[in-house]
Amino acid sequence: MAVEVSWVTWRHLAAGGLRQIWRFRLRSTLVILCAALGVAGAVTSVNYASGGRAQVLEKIRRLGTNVIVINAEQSRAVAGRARTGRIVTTLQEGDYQALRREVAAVLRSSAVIAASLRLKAGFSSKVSPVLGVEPDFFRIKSWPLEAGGYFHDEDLKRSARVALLGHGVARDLYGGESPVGQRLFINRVPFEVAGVLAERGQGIDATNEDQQVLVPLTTAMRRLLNVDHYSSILLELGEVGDMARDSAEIAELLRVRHRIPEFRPDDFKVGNQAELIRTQLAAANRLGFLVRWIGLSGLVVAGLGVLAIAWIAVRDRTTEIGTRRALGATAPDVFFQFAFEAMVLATIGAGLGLGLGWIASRITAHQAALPFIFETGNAVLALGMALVLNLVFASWPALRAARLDPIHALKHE
Amino acid sequence: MIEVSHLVKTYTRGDGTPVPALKDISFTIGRGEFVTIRGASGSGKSSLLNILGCLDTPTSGSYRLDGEDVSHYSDERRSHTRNRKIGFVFQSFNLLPRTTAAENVEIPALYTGGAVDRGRALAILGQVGLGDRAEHYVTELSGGEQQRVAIARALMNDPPLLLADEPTGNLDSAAGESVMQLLTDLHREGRTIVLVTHDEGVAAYAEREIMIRDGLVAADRPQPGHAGSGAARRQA
Repeated sequence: MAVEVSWVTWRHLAAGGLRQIWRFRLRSTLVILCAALGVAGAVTSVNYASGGRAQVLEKIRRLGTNVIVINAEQSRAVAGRARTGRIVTTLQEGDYQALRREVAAVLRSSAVIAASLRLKAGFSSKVSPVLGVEPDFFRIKSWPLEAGGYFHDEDLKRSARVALLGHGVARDLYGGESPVGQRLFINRVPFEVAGVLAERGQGIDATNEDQQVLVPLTTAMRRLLNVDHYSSILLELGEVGDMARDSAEIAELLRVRHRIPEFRPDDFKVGNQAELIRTQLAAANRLGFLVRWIGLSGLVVAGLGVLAIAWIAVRDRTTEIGTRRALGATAPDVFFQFAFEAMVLATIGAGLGLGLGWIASRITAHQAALPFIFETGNAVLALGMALVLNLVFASWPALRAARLDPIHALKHE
Repeated sequence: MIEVSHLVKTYTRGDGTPVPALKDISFTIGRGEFVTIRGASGSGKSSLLNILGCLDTPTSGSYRLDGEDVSHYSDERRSHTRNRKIGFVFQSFNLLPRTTAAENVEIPALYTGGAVDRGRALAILGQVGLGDRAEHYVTELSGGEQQRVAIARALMNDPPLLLADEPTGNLDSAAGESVMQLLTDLHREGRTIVLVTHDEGVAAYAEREIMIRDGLVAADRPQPGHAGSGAARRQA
């Protein structure tokens, strides 16, 4: 049977539907809220995951994929488990020079000595990691200044007592004051604060770089710690070649230089960032995948809410349906009326949810210290899916309304 | 106007046994008549009402309404027939809640596929004595007023047949009397009215009474109080 549809009738029904929506304000608000929360939840969670992913990518950009880090450390098997942490003193200047000589692609490099030392400035005092580094360290790390200046090669030659503060250290020790030019005691040795480094947050290796103090390498070794070994060496390679091969070459060179016999473990660890990055990116991508499914199920749950309320509306209005049928409404007219009312509400809700999602994304990004990302494509996708789901879910009760036997509907109390 | 012949309606119970509601009903109602269909509950008068109202189709037999055989119309065509040819008046008024009197009267016009004439709705409300209540919500009206809004709604599309189902069943006697008076006035203006009731007092307003018992026409006779009067006026 061909269903004849009168557009004039449907225009009247649409206008009437809008009045019904206003008259049943509470129910309408519930449907709108339901639809809004579904979209807002989906949009927010997807944006949150995107923010996390963007942060990983930003860390990668900061410390390029072409950096190899050699850490001095001894792995020992204690009671069958690998333990690290003993101070190893075998990574020395000779190794550093050999690496710079032998590894062809080295563009920049910095040896690093690190220790936790007591800082004192005025009445403030705290223990922080202090790193002795070379000037290239900042370029390898792409670490800009917030105030003051870097230290230079002459400072290393003179073992100058100058220090650069991480953002957090500067805040903790000097509060709101500018620390540049101020005096800082590190293990009771007086230093002058040369500058403050830009805020970084957590690095890719999970250290909080904002809590570090950086001083010239020679100053740290001679004036603070009196040692002749390094904690680690950073090598930045000029071009991204085969990182794994370069790492293996470096390891072999150090084993030979340290005269480590076969079957004995290394007293160092060669790490390239690529591996760490791959793991983190994979984790971020897995989170993104998970979050998309959570978002989708949120939309489905919201759609079910719309369904439930529309279903109740059909039950409550059974007599109305019977009356309208008796007065001449066809089954398609009834379907249209109920589907239209539900869809108007669901659409308002979904649009509202988009706005809510934007606000919530901002808030979560701010609280989780993640970059604020609003993925328009995903937001539109969420909106579209919400509308399709709601259309499906609202059609069911509307279809039920249309199929009601008018005689029974009229008898309904 | 209405011509039913050998109307049979048989329902099928859940276990498959047939339940006859109408066994063999035949009668004719002419244009401008005011007829009551009276019967006890279970007599089959509701089944007859549903078929006369095009809400249901007969199992067999034929039903001609306003010259058309509507007995086997599809659901959609019956909807259109109800919309244009039948004005329904229900026992419990069946006005839409949270809606004004005028909006209720307009409902049948929504489904004609044409324009909705608000002026006509207001004019009919005036005709039933509710001209000043058009913008009132139906919940603000008394029972008698609500039933008069429902009658105005039934008149909106100017249908040839007015079908009333116990229109005074939910009203006190004063309001019931005023509603019956209104129906009598409409009849006097020439409308065909079929009123289904179990109440003898209500039946007395009509000029003819069809008694239904056990799915059969038990009696078809003119009402004594009105005998000949309506017909005489029409013929004059």
